[in-house]
Amino acid sequence: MRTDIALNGSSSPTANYIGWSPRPATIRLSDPTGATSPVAVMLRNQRTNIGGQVVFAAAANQPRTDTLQLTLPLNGSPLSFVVSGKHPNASTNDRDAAIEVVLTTGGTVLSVTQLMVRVRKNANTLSDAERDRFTGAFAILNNRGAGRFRDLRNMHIRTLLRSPLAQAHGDDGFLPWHRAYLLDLERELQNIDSSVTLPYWRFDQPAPKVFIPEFIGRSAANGRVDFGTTNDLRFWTTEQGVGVLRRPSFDPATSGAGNANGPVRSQDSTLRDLGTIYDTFIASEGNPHNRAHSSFREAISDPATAPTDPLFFLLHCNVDRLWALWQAKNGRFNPAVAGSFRTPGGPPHPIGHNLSNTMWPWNGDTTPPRPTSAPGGPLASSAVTSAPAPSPAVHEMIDYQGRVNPANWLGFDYDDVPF
Amino acid sequence: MVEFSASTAEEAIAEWVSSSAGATEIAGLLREQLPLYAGRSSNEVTRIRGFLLAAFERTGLPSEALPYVMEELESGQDAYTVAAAARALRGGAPSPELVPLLRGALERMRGADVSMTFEVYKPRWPFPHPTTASDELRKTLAWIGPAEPGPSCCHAASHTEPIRDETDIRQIELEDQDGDTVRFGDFFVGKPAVVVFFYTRCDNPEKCSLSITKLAGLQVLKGDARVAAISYDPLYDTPARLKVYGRNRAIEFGNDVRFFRAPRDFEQLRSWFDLGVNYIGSMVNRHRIELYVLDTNGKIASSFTRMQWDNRRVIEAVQALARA
Amino acid sequence: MEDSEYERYIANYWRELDRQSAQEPETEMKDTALFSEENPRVAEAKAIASGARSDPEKLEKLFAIIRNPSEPIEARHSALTSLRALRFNSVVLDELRAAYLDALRDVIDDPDPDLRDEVLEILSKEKDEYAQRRLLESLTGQGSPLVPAQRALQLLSYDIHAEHFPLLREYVARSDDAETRLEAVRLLSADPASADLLMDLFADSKEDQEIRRASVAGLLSLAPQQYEERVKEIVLDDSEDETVRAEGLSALSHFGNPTALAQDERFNATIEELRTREANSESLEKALQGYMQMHLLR
Repeated sequence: MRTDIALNGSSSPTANYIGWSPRPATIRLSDPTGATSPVAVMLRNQRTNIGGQVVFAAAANQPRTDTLQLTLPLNGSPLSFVVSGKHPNASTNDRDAAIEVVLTTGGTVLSVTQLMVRVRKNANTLSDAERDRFTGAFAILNNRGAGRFRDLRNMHIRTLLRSPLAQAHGDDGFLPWHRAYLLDLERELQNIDSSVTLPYWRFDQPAPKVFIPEFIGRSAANGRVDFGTTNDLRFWTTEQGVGVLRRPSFDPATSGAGNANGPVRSQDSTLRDLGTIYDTFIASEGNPHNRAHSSFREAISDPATAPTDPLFFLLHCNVDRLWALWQAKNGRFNPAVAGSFRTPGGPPHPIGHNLSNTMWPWNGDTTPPRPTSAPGGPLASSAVTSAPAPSPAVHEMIDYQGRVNPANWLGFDYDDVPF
Repeated sequence: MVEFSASTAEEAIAEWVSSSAGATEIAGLLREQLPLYAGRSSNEVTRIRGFLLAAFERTGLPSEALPYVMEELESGQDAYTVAAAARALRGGAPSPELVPLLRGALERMRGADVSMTFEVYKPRWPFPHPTTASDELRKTLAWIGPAEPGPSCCHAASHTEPIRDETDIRQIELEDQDGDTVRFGDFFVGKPAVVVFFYTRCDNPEKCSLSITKLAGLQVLKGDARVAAISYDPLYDTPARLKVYGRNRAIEFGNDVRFFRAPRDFEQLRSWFDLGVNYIGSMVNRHRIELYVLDTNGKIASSFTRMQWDNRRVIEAVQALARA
Repeated sequence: MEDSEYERYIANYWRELDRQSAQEPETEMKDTALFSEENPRVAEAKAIASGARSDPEKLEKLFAIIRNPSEPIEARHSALTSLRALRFNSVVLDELRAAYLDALRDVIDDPDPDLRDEVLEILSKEKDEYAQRRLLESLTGQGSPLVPAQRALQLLSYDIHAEHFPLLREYVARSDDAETRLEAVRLLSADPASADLLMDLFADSKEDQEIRRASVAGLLSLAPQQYEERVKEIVLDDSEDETVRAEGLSALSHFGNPTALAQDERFNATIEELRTREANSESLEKALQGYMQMHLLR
C-alpha cells in the first residue's frame, strides 16, 4: 500500500515549498494493494525534534493541528487538505521537513513527502550553512547579471520625469514596488539554489553576526568592505568594479542603525506610532527607511548607487517585513478595504502608485510618463504559486499571504509574521 | 578649416571660440569622431562641446549645427550641454516646431540641473553670472514666444551614405552573444540588415538602453532581414554581458538576431562605419545614437543617426531594399 | 478560530506583539554617545528637516545651515544628513538640485576635513563635474589636497567616466603606501584597459599577496576568457603561494567560462589530484571544494 501527496497543486517536488499560509494539498491512495475498503490514515511530521514542522487542516477554514486523520477512497481519487508551516519551526535546510502518512491502525508508513518550510529570516540568526548558501547564490546571481538587477542599478538616474526612481519612491507605490522587486530577486536566487530566501537586516537591533567578513562584510577604516577569503561576496561586481564601499555611522555589532540625527525608528515605534491606516503608515519611507540608508556613508546612502551594495537588499527586506507586521497587527490585507492602501479620493497620484496600476518595469510599459525603457521582462515565475501576474499590479502585493484570496499567495513569508 | 588635435589644450580651444571663431568653423568641430576628442575625459568633452554650442548664440546658428543642438535637447544628460543647446537656438530664428523638444529637455533637467556659467571656461567656484539648464531652456521658450507646438518634429532623418571607406571589412571577426565567432561578410551578406551601435555601460538611458529597446521592435524584420547590435566597448562587453543586456530588453536571439563585439578588429569597423564615438583609453567618452541599414552586400544603404529614429521609417527602408 | 492548540498559539502571538509594541517609548533605544547632548542648533536643524520633504523654503534653510561657517559643525552635519536622507524621496529636493549642489560646492574648501569629505562624497555620487575637477587637480598637485589621495581616488571611482584610470595605474606603479596601492588595484577592476596590468600583478610572485589576490578577482571579472589559461598555470604551479593559488582558483570558479572549464581535462585532472593531497592549506582546500561544487559536480 502506498500514498502520494501533491503540494501547491503540483506533483513535482519542486513545488514542495511552503510558508505559514495554509497551502492546498491532495493525498490519494496510489497503490491500494492489500486494502479492501477505504483506508484510514494519519498525517504527521516525520520528525518532531528537528527540521521544519508543519500543521494540517481538513480545509482552509478549519483549525490547524499537528496531525490529521483522513479516510482515503480505494479508487485512488484524491482528497484535499491544507498544510502550513508550524510557526516558529521553519526549515534550516532544503526539504528538511517531512510529512509522514501512516495507517491509523498499526502505524505502517505509507509515504514520506519531503518539503521545506521556507521563510525569510533575521540575518543575525542564520546558521552558517544558511548564510553561506545565501552569499554564494547572491554573488553568482549578481555577477552573471541575471535578472533585471544590474540594469535597474544602472538606471537609477535621478531625473524626475519618466524616472525609474520615481516609479518606486516618493509615493504610495513605494512599499508594493519594493515588495515585487525583492520577490523577483528572491525567485532568481531560488533558481540558483531553491533553499535560499532573502534574509532581513533588523536595523533597529545590533547585528554582530551580519557585519562580519563571512556575511555582509566588515567595513575597514577606509570604507572598503572586507569579505574575508572564503565569502563569495568578495567577488561582488558592479560597473564600478569588484567590491563595495560602505561606512556605518554606528557600530553595527553593538547598536541599531543611526546617524547624526538620531537612531532609526524602532520596530515597536513603527508599529505603534505610524497609525493604523496606510495613509499614515507610508511615512515609514522616511523613518525608518531613509534613516536606515543614511546611517551609512558611501554607496548605500544615495538612491542612485544604493543597489550596488548587497546590504541594500537586506535593508529593504526589513522595510518590507515591517509593513507585513503592521498589516498583520492591523488586519490590512484586503486591497478592497480602506486602510490597506491609500484612502480613495484626494488629488491624483502618479502612475505606478495607484492600486490598479501595473508596475514598471515588469509591465514593459514605456509610454510617457513611464521611463523610456523597461529592462528585465516580466517578474520571475515560481514553481509554488502562480501569483502575482507576470506584469504585477500594485494591489497584488498587498494580500501576500493569501489571507483574503488564497490564490494571491506570493510564496514568501517572514519568520516572525505567522499566519 | 580649423584643425585641433588630441593634444590641443582645451583652454586653447575655448580661447579660440571666444575670440575669433566663426559659426561654420565651430560647427565643423562637433563630430564626435574628430581626433580633437580622442583621449579626453567625458567631462572634458562635455566642457568643450558645451562651450562650442553656447557660442552659436553669439555667432549665429548655422544649419549644419542644428542636428547637434536638437540631439542635446532630445537626449542630453549633462545640464551644461543641454543649457548650451538652449542658448544656441537663440542664435537662429525662433522655431516654434522646436518647442516640444525644449519642453522635453526642461522636464528631463528637473532633478538633473546644476549651476554653471558660460562666461568663463573651466570656471572656479563661485561662478560669475551663474545660470542653469532650466533657466536657459525657459529663456529660449520665452524667446520663441507663444506658439502652437507642432507635431513631434524630430525623428532622425534617413541619410543615404556615400561609401566612406573602400577597405573590405568582410573578413573582420565578430564574436556574438554566445561566444561564437563569425566574419562580418558571413552575417551581413545575403539579406538586408539593421545594425545599431551601443555599449552596456552607457549611463544615459535615453541613448543605448532606449536604442536596444527600440531595436527589439525591429525584430519583426527577421526572416527577411537581419537585426544586430555591435558594442562600442569590445573589451568590457563580453558575450555574457551582451546576452543579458539584449535579453533584458526583449531581444530574442536567433540566426537573424545577434549582438556582437569585435575584440580584435574594432578599429576597422569604427573607421568603415565612421562611427560617431570617441574614447579615453578603452572608455567611451562620447557617442551619438546610430543605426545603419545595410544592403544585401553588407554596404551601408542608409543611416539614422543622432536623434532617435522612427521604427516605421527603418522598416520601410529595409523593405525597400528587400524588394530591390 | 482558537479551537486548536496551534490556533491559540497564533492568536496569543499577535496579542503579545500588540502588547509589546504598545509599550511607552522608554523601551526605545536611548541616546548613545552618538546622539547625546544635543546642541540647540542641531535641534533646530532637525526641526527644520522634519517638514522639509515637500517644503522648498525649509530645504533652502537646510542649504543655508550647511554653507554657514558660523553654525556649529554638528548642526551642519545634521542638515547634510537630513538632505542625504531626503534625496531618496523628496521630489522638491529633485527640483532644487542646482541650489543643493551650490551649497555643497560652497563648502568643498571648508576647514573642517570631515565636512569636506562628506560633501565631496555626495557631489561625487552626483557625478558633479566641478567636484571631480577639483579632486583631479588635488591629485595632480594643482592646489591643496582636499582629501587624502586614496580617498580622492575612491571618490572619483563613483563615475567610470571620471578620467581617473591613468592616475590609478600611476599609483599602482609608484605609490609606496601599501593601502593606497591596494585600493588603486581594486578600483582598476572597472577598467578593461588595465587587464594586462592586473595579469602582470597576479603573475608576479614577488608582489604583495593581497595585491595579487585583488588583481585576479578584478582581472577575471573584467575579461575572463583571454586570461583563463595564464591564471590556470599559476593555480597549478606548486612553487606558488597557496593563498594566491587558492584565490586564482576561486576567481576561476566564479567568473570562468563553465563550458571551457568543463572541457579542460588536464586542468581538471590536476585539480582532482590536488584534492587528494594531505597538506593543502585551509584556503586552498576551500577553493578546491568550491571549484568541485561549481564546475565538476554539475
